[in-house]
Parts: sequence; structure tokens; C-alpha cells
Amino acid sequence: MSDSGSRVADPADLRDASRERLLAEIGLLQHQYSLTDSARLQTQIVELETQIIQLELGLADSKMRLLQARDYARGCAAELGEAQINFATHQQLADRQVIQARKKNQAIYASRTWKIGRLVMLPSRIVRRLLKAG
Amino acid sequence: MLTQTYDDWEWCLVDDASPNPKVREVMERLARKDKRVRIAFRQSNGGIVAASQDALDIATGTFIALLDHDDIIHPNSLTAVATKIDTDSTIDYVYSDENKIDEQGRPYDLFRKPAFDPIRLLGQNYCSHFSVIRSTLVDEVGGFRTGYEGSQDYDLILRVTERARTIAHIPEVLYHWRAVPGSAATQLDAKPYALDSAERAVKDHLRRVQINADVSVSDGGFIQVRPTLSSPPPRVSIIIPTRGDPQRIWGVHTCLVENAVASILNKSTYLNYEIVVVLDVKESKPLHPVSLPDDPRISVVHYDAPFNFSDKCNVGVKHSTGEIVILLNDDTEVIDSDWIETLVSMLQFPDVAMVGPMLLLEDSRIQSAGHTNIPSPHNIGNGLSSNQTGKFGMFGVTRRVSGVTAACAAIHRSIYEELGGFSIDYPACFNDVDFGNKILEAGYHIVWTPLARLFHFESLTRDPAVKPHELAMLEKRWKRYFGREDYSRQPA
Repeated sequence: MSDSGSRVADPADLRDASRERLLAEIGLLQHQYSLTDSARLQTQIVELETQIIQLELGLADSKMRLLQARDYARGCAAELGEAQINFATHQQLADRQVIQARKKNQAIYASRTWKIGRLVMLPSRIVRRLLKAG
Repeated sequence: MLTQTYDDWEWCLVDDASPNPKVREVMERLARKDKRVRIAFRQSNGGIVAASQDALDIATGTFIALLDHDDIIHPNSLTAVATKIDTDSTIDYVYSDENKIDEQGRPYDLFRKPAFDPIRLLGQNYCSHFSVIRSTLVDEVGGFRTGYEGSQDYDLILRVTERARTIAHIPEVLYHWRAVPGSAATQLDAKPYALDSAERAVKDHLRRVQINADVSVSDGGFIQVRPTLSSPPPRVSIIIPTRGDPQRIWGVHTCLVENAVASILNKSTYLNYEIVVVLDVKESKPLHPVSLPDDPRISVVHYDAPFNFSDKCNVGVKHSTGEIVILLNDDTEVIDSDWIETLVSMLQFPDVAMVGPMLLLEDSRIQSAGHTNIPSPHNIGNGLSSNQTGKFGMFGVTRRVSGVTAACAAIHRSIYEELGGFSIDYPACFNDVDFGNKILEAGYHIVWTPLARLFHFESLTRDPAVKPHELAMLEKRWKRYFGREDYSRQPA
């Protein structure tokens, strides 16, 4: 307890105190709690109440934003899941298309038309190679 | 059996002291014809449980498949089961889809079953045919039990599912249940003692899994299980978003929210609840005059932003205090006085996050019996008669679903907040479908129950047309689950 505060630990101690002692204690308490300045206290209370209301509004607003943020996070996770599935589906499709294209290529190389064409073009290929080598 | 494409089987047949000598003759002929047929003869008639148990006693296989003496299994049944079992060494129990065949052998009543649903199993033995169980597990649980005649397989399945490491469903019709006059396949009351046995089996099961519940049998022959409410019962907040519109209900000009609130106050027997009405206002004035009773349980929150059902629900939940929130449309009316008790009790099942009731249209047809994703999200049973229990009892049993409509849904507040509430990206439609998917994706479950009923005078207050951007948003998030009934997803 500060020096300016009441020195009374137990109010029962004041039961037999003298008038002067009681007046002194009242003075100390009035000083400690500024009971004489009620108008100032009232203003403080109003200010605090306004602050509490603003804080409560802020808190409510934050709660709503938190709720929306959580939904956004869940939504993003869901969209990611969807994108992963789409990616996997498209990858499978692309893989299938590559395999089909390779098969088609092999079929062309194995065809009689391709082989005849290759034979027909053989002299020109040889000439081209010779020219390159020269 | 003899046409099975899978070879490694044995067929255990027990003659329960049949007075017909031909039975023994047929069995012995079968055993001579195929060494895989194992036969046993009882000295006295012991009933279905004793005979089934004798069959178990002579069985030596790793898995036990249950086949009634007058039914048929598909030639590929055992192959399909063996293939499934090979995919996972922890599978202890497998069941398949089934259908019925009439006396002429014509198939009907195809039953496409859902993934394993322990809550639906409490209401009916939907797994039943074709059930294949690991034999060590059958031994572990003690096989068939005397005293459960008529539902001995149900009792066994309940005990098996309590301990099975993995339960698998084969979505193929592997079993054809023969329906002849007098069989349980054609009429429920063919074996009235079976219902008593089933009720006792469920009670025993609940005792073993330590769920306190009231158990009874419905008129439709389903077991009704209501988990006991905690004491004191949790506080419930009923959130009603409304514009205060008047509409005609049963020909009478009615303010919808006033009607909904009056029906709650007049009919509900639950003691610990509050009603939070989220009322649209413009410049602090309601759009329509609304007069609510002067009751301390009612509070009104003004909402002056552009229409957004999701946001209004979130605002209502924020202003409420209950551990459990019930989202309720203003175009609803309570039918069953214990509707809150029922919804709250269903939330006591493990991991159940949201529960929806049976919603009926003005003419008592079904408006919604939950949501399905097949082929795309929509209400189950919409427009069908509520006097019927539906295909395979789907309108008569409490069961897991892919979602429930937000017209009436009870949710744990903690889970509502954990999942971010309703997404404000869906101002009018699909907010409940989206929320349901969020629940399932987080590893929780959604339950629909016929034990609580309300009227839902659907879409009286708004244009029922679907907004394209809301559908696009839904597809962007959840399209991979359309066409699937994945109401038991593993958390990501």
C-alpha cells in the first residue's frame, strides 16, 4: 500500500478509533479514490463504456471475418482438391493420347506404303548423304 | 454354388432333423458329387441358430459366407469377394448389393447399398445379403447366439462390425434373395419374433459400444434408436433468417416467421432453447410488419445488408449462445413436439456434425429426406409420399447422408465455427450443399432422421431458380464428388 493510502488492514480495527483518527482515515480514502471528483469519474465511465462497445463491435466484426477466413481456407482446399483431380484426369488423357499417337506412328512405319516410299527415296537419300560427307 | 467361377470354397450344409427324408438324400448326393460339399445331420430340430452354428462348426475356410437355403448367389460372387479381400489384408467383413427374385426367378427390387453406415445398421440389417466374414472374427465374437432366432444374422453382423478392422462394400449384385409367400422378403410380419430379436440385438450392441439410447420398433418394422440426452440438456439456439414476408399456407394469409415461431413455442417440449430471428431491415425498419410474442427466449437481430442467406445464418449464429444451433427457414412449421430432442439426440452419435429431419410439403408429400450426390446434389424423396417407408426403408430409418437442407438442420456450434459457417459466396442456393461437403471433407458425418418431422413450404419466399454462378462455384469446389455417395470421407 502506498504512503497516501489507508493504513487500515482490517475495518474492525477502527471500531474503537478516535474521531480524529476516523477523519484522517476518511481523508486518506477520499484522496485515494478521488471520491470527491464524481464528475470526472462519470466521464471516465462513459468513455470506458464507449470503448467497450467499440471493442465488442470490433470483436464481432473480427469473429465474422475469422468465420469467412475459415470458409475461404476450406474453399481453397476444396478447389485444390478439385484441381488435383482435374490435373490427374487430364494427365491420364494426355498420356493416353501420346500412347495412341505412338501406336499410330508405328503403324505408319510398318505400313507397305511407307516402306515402298522409303525404297523409292533411297537413291536420293544416298546422294544427299554423299553430298553432306563431301 | 456349383457354378461358381471361384474354386477354393467349401459348402457347409446342415440338416436340422428334417422330417422329409429327401433332404438327407439330396445332401448326400451333393456330397458324393462334389467333395467340397460338407454335410452334417442334427439328431433333433434345434432351429435356425443351432443349425447355423453347426454349419459354422464344420467350416474350415478363412472366410464364412452366409447363404440361406432358398436363395441364389451370382456365379461370380465368390470371385468378386476374393478379389476384394485380396486388395486389403485388414478386411474382416464384406457385404454386397442384392436383389430379390420371385417364384419364377425374375429379379426385382435391386438394392444398391451405401458404404458402411453404422447408424443405418442400427435401424435395419441393410448389409444382410451377401455377407462374408473372417472366420477368426466369427469365432472371436462367439458365432450365432441362441435367443436371437430370426435375427441371428443381424446380431452376428452387429457384433462383427464392432470389431472388424476394415469393412468393405462390393457395389455389385452378388446375391438374389428369393421372395416366396411367407418369407421375410415379401412381408415384414412373416416372422414377428424376428423383430423382437432384432430389437434385443440392437440394445445389446448399444450396451457394448456404450451408447445410452432409447430403442423401440416402428410400425414400419424398423428399429428406432434415440441416444439419451446429456443432463442437463444442451442449450439450443434456433436461428431463423427472415424478411418477414406473408404468404398463403393452406389457403390462409400468414406471416411465415410468426407462424414458424408460434409452432415452435406451442409445440416444442425441449426446455433449454432460444430463438434468434434475423430480420431484414431497411434504414432500421422491417421490410414487412412482424409481430413476435413477448417471450424472453426470442431475440431479434436486424440485418440491413443485401440479401444473403448464408450471411444471415452466420450473423444469427454469432448472436446466439447455444452449444447446438438449429438453422430453420421461416417457411417451416413444427409437426413433432419432440423434434428438438430428436435432432439433438442424433448429434450424440460419434462424429456426427449435422442432423436434418423429415421435411414435408404443404400436402404432406416429402420435400426433403436428406441430400444425395447422385447424379448431382438434390433432395432425396422430393414429391414422394410420406406414407411409405420408401425403397429399402430409406424414409423409415435414421441414416447417414451426403447432406441435409438448411431449411432445418441442427449443428454443433463448435463445428459450425471450425468450418467457417455458411459460405457467403452462395447467397441463395447450394449453401447447405457446400456446407455439407465441408463437413464430410473434415471427416465428420451428416445424419438424416425420420423421427423428427416439420413442414417446409418450400421456396415460398424466394425465386427457386438456381443462379449459374452459385452452381459454378459449387462445381469448382466439389464436382469430384458428384455422382458419388461418399458420405464417409477420410479427412484430407
